[in-house]
Amino acid sequence: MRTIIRREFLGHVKSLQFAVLLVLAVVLFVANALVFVGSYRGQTERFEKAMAMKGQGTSTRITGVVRRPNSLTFIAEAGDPERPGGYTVMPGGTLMAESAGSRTFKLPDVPALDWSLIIGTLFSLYAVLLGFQAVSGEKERGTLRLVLSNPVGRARFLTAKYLTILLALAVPLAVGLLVNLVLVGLLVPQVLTLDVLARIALVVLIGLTYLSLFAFLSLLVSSLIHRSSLVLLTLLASWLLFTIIIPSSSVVIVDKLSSAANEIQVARMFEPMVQKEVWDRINAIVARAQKGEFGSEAEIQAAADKAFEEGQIKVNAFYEDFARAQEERARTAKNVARMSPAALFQFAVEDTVRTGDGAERDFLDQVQEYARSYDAYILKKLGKVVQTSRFSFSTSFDFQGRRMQLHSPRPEEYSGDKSDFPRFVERTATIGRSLRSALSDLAGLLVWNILLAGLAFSAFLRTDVR
Amino acid sequence: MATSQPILKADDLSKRYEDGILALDHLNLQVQPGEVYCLLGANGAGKTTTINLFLNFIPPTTGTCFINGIDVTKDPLEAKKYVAFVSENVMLYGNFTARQNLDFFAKLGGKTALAKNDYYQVMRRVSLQEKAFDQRVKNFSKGMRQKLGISIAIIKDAPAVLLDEPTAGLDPKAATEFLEIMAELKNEGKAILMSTHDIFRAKEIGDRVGIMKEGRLVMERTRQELQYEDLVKIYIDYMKSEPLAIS
Amino acid sequence: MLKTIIGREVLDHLKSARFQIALLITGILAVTTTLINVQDYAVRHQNYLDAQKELRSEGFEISVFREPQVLSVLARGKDRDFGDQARLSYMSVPSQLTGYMNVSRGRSRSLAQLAAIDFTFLVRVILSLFVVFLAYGAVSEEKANGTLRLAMANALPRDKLLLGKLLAGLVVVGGVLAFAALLSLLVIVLHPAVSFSTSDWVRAALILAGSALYLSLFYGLGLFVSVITDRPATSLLVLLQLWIVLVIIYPNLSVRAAEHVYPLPSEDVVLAQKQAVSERFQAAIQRANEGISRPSPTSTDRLQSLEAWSGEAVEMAKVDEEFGRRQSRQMRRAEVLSLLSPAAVYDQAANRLARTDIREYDRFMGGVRRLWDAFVGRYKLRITDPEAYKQTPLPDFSYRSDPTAEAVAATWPQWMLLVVINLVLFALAYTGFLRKDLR
Repeated sequence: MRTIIRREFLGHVKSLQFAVLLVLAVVLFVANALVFVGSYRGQTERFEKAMAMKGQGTSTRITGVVRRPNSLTFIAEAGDPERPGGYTVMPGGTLMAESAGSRTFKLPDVPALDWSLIIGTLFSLYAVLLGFQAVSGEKERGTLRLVLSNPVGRARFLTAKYLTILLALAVPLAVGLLVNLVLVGLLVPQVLTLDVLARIALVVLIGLTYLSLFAFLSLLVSSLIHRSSLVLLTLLASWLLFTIIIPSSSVVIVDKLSSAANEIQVARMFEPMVQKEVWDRINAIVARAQKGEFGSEAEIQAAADKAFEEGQIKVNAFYEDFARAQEERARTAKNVARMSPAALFQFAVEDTVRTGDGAERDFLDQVQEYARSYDAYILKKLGKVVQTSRFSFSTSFDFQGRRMQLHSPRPEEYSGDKSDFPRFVERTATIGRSLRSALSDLAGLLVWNILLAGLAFSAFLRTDVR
Repeated sequence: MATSQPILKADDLSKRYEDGILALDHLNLQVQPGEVYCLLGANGAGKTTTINLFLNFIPPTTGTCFINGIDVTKDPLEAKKYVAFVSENVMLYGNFTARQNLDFFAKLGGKTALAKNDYYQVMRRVSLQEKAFDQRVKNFSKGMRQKLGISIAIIKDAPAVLLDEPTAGLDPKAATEFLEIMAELKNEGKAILMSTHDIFRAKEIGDRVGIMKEGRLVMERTRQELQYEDLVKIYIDYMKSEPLAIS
Repeated sequence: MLKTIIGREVLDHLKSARFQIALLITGILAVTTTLINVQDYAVRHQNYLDAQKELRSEGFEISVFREPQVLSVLARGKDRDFGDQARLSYMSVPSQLTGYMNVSRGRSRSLAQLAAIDFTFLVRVILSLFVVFLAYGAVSEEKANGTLRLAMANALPRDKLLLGKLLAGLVVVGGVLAFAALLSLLVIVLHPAVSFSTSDWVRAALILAGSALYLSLFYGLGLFVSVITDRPATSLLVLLQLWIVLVIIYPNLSVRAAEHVYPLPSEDVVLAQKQAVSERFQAAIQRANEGISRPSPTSTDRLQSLEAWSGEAVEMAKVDEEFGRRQSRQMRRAEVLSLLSPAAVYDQAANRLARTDIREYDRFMGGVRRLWDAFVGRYKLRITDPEAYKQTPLPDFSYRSDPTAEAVAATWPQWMLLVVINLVLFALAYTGFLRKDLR
């Protein structure tokens, strides 16, 4: 078997595909490193400035939380620049997302140039280009009969072919990764901690599992169809289906599949509520005041306060429902996309490097936990928590000859000792936890591998080699 | 000829394909060591099917093939150690040189300890030009590839050699050289089974000649018998008429 | 003679397995992608109509809704990503569109980065790949199987043979494109929610013509590579890798390059500028607030408040507009950088014609700004002349959408570029073939 592997591998190395893959891998991994270094430095700067401003604040009216930039976005960006860079926290559990403000929306929408793109799209394509002739090419050349007229078992033969495809992919991958990590290590050495290196190793493993299934797929189709050009056509069609068509369609067809409300449905419920309910109540109070039902300004204020407070709670609830509905739809889209192994790969990598929807939810959970401790602090120091939301309401009317202002209650500022002000400390998921969340997608990749391997071997064992 | 065990033996071999075609009908055939057996027949007569059955590329419907006494369907890997195969018009691995191709197949065939000179020797033996030894095969002519194919079989040094249309497309000089090598191999004691269209060469080199028609071995003659009969006439007659019983 | 060659060549293609597989896949994808996009458009359009009816607000704040572009069923562009509503009050000029919930567009982050699957994607990625498969063997396969020599053993001038292959290829490619287009248009026409106006049809026709130009370019490339290589396997692999670089890699790299070679001012700079504006107007706004919160504010007080706030808003808007101009400039530079990839050129031109690109968005925002000015003016009237205010209706929102003639003129250079590349490739294939060793 070693003989076959050696010859096969040399054959790959001499091919045009290998050379081009090597060049492209180096170019793309270098570009990835340079792009990342630039944006990471900017993000870190922004983070430090924001921490200096918000992180030191001790107001009981409003405070802020800043998200530390993720140093692994060069592996799987997963929309990281569009995630909130932090949250403004106001009493009563009001959270308002702040943009991270980096990418412009005017540039053409191209997928981020991260490892998951390079491996997920380019390397998988090359797995096909290196593997499509494995059986059909040998048959067309006549060497299949020649090889099998020797004491070489079919299973061994196919295994040798499989291993060489992986090897031929692994070499450019290793070169590219090396160049990439050297650049990153030289320019932003603080990124490459032990934890990061361990995650990188995991990502490489996940990547190889992913590429392996494309190798098996190529071997399967090459054993079934005996004309190499048709094999290639079929494999390219499958590649397109997995890497582009299924994931893209999932976002668009989720409308049909998800029962969670979409944006306009929530808006249609929300707007009238805000416009009518709260204001109706306020207007009713004003009317009653003008009719003389209230004895003093304080009573009016108290009634208004109550109405405003309940309104604020409702507004917050709506925004929370909306966020949850969005998450639900995103989850459905992802589940639909999981039909494609490319999506499984993408999600597994995202979980391993803590980017993507999981990380966002994680951070939001921590911010909500902090908001609760913030409220507890305010309660302790001021005795009550004033409900706020992203809206404030105010109106004014004439009462007993004067102009009276009614507005939603404003939080107070505590003026005493603030040495025990709660600070937000971001916890990042441990490797164990990241791995656990990536586990199901990784398992999916393994299942694909086993399935395709089984099919490939049984197909080849049955192939007519005449 | 010698009365030792036949190295190649087909016992009541039949093959019916999935589409119903009976490609081989109860074939009985033996090739002794030191014997050249030429299998003649039109295209589709069953010659290539016979070879494919010997190499276990397809399973027989009935009957058995033996290489060196080993049943090829029961123990194919063991059986293949004892047979060398020369295919018609093989492209080989174009990006590798002649020597590299030879080296690869030699190792596959079990000869792992050969040196460069051993390869050169074999290639010289088949009259392949010296300068082609380290040239990439993709630029070879048909004749050159044929020679390389034969050298691949020679270097395996197996007791049986199967050849599928070995002289098709060769010029007279190359064909003659080929026959000389066949004679050498025969004298070395190898059992050679050759399927061919080439009546003239078959008559020259074959110790025994068999004619196949529509899956049946309709006639078998030894070299001595053929001295008194006109093989060409027999062959053409058989191509035209109904199959007769084997005499 | 030429007709014989073309005839055989076309039939050869039609009978080949790869053509039939390609046709089948094209048909399925044309129908499914158009169906998906049409339904998506229908939903978005219905949302827009619902929003107009139910979410409009008047008074202190008014809202403007953006109608989705109907041609986004063919070329999605950025139409889905721009946002649907703008909220105007005299306190701020909206610089960006938001979603219906007045939060910035939230979409599933990890899946959001994927390319749009629409008709132009079908042409740009999938059909170009199939054209490569149809073209790679045009000359090299014939050489390998010996039929080229056979053909040339007749009184057939070389240029006629190549011309025949070229025309036959264009016929087949055109046929596949027409097939895909027909199916797509059928879906569009049959769906009740989509209706094209005459100018929409003209634009769609132009996009179709551009698609033909784009695909013929790939056929020319395939022909050229087939001429200069000797074996079909080599031709195919060379072409595929060229395709990978031209269609997948280069467009991505050129955008990254534009981002980093022409960076935008950082967010801090913009914030600092806005801070400066805020400080300039601080005093005025404070005074205005004091005036307003008096027991009985006079109309002078209210006017002062309006002018302070709207004055600040205008200055803030200037900062935003300057930033927006830089964004547009960066984008234009990205467009120039990506001209080396015919896929990017085609995409840009198609999106421009479909009105799903940035320029349409900029026009819309221009209209929003004009509306804001009118709105503030009318609001002023509310304070100064309540009677006249009651007479003046709410300003209508309108913006001058890209007229077809202008779009054609604007995309002209891109189509010309594709034509030129086509001609160059054909010329190269031609001269290569005339000199080719046919043995």
